[in-house]
Amino acid sequence: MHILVIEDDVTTGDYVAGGLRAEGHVVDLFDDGRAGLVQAMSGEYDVMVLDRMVPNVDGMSILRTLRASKNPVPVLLLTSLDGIEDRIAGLNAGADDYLVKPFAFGELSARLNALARRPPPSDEPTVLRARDLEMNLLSRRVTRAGQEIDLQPREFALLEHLLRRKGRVQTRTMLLESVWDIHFDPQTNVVESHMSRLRGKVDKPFDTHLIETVRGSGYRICA
Amino acid sequence: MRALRSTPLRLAVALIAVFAVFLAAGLGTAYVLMHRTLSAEIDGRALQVVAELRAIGRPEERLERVQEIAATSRPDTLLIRLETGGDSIGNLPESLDAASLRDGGLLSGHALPLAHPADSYRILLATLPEGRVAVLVGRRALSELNEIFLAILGFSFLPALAITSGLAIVVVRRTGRRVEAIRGTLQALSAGRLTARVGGTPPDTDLGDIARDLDRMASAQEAATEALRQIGSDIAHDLKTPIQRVAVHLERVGAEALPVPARTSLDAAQAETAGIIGTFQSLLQIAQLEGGQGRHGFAPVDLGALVRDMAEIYAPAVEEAGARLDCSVTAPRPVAGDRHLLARLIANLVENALRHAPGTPIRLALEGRVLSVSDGGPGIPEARREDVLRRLVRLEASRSTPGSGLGLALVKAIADQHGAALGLEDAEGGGLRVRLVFPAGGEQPEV
Repeated sequence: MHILVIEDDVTTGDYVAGGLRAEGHVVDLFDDGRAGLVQAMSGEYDVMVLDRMVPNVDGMSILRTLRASKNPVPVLLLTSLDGIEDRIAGLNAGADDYLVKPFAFGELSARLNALARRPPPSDEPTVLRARDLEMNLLSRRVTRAGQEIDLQPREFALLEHLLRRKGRVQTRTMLLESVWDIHFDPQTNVVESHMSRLRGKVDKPFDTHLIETVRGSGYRICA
Repeated sequence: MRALRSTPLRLAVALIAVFAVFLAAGLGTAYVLMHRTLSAEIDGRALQVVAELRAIGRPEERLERVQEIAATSRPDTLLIRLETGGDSIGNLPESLDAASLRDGGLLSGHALPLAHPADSYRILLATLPEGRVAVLVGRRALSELNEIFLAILGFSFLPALAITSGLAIVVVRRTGRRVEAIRGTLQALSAGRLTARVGGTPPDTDLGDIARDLDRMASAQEAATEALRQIGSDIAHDLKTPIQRVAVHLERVGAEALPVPARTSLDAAQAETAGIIGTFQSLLQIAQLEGGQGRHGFAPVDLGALVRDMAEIYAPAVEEAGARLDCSVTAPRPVAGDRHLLARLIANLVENALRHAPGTPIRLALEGRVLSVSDGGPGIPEARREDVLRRLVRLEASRSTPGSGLGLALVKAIADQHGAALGLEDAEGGGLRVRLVFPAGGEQPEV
């Protein structure tokens, strides 16, 4: 992917750019708001990482300028502010996602992948598959190797979320946000517990494991 | 009934009452004194007539004088009758029975067959050498006195009272509006709307001074809060960036192959960093909530569904920790609020129970608009319950358990923001129950 990063802190900027390049992306890094905005307006990017507080032109102004000129590039807003109204203000200004500092690289990478590769809304599948697992979205039945698996509604939703994003890492916070609509970081391992229950039904009785834990990041279903 | 508590109204009513009482007392005294003087004069006139008749030496002259008096006196002023043997002379009508005349008494004018009698007459009976004489003096002057005083009452006293009351109503309304404006501003300020002002051009009165002082205080408060918010966001930026760098460095180290002791230390360092971030964010969030942020986004929240969701989210983790999470929802009512903050509140309470009462059953209950979370732990001594709601306060007994000491403070800040009453009490069979009573008003979105 072609990624634009606008971040004034050198350590964070190098870290983000370096990590993304190591994953095989092409990254342009800017530490100044005005130069970054010019680049964003001229370049063709798949996704953009924007710090909310950058010198000369601040992140929110860059975002508003982009959206005012009908530039649809997906934007992930990085911020030090974690206020109730900051988040809403960021999303209202046209950000597609919002990440509060400090963050782990895995979280950033997973969210960028989710932003850039939104599945097209057409040709909605009725059956999701991963190897020998089948999920029928109409009858809400799940089978693996022909064996029926009985799932609670929320376990079904969790598995569906992972299957729809097959091969892509989903972090704990991403799962909390999309499956449970929870926008804070619980101090208890709630996601791990749900995941362990789901695995007990989907993976444990079988030889190969479908749900993979990505250390320091989250979970994914192998493609 | 709030009108009765208004100070200007009470003062005005009291002043009008005092004014009315003094005026009435003055008029009353004048009336009594004048009435007494006039009565004495009337009595004196009767005595004067009798004394004059007595003073006359010759009987014929006396009879002539009686007839002269009778002829020259107006019947509403003086009536006289002299009885000599079977005969009687004078202008007192014959038809009047002598027995109804009592010395010193009063006679109503209506009893007399006269065209224009006085309202009443003073009676004086005396004995002359020729026989009994009756002198009746009309008390017209007293009737006139009554009329004059009624006129004073009707044309002066009552209008004065009405005008005073009218003025008082105007003054009370005006000061009432000003007091109401000051009160409304104070309420808005304490509810966190720091932009509230009494406003307008306050008059040069004590209330005007108070309004001006209040506006000045509110401006100072707003500026101080804004400065604090600015400091908060500066600190957030200046500290979070280095914390971000620490996290970056730690993550880079983690990517290397490490011997086991180094890996253990690294994991511990990363956990501590996460702890610092958590504390930091909770502190910032409490400060923002106390600053009144977030109320604009209030909408009706289905608290019953939220409680069930939170129980569903936490049940597996609680069971993994060797405990049980029970959830009961009866007759849930919606509340006005922020769903994310309320979720955070419930999560904090459940996590608090999990941390301080490990292994005991946790009960999450909603009845109407009353939310409660109870555990089977050691509870909190009554004397310390106020303390634990403050920031960073942790009881000695819980020093060894993890947690920032901000959990309940954040719960309190969210509860306050939602206008919910927060109470800590003993649960059945020991343990702590945190109880939240939400106010009504979730049915319609706030205007």
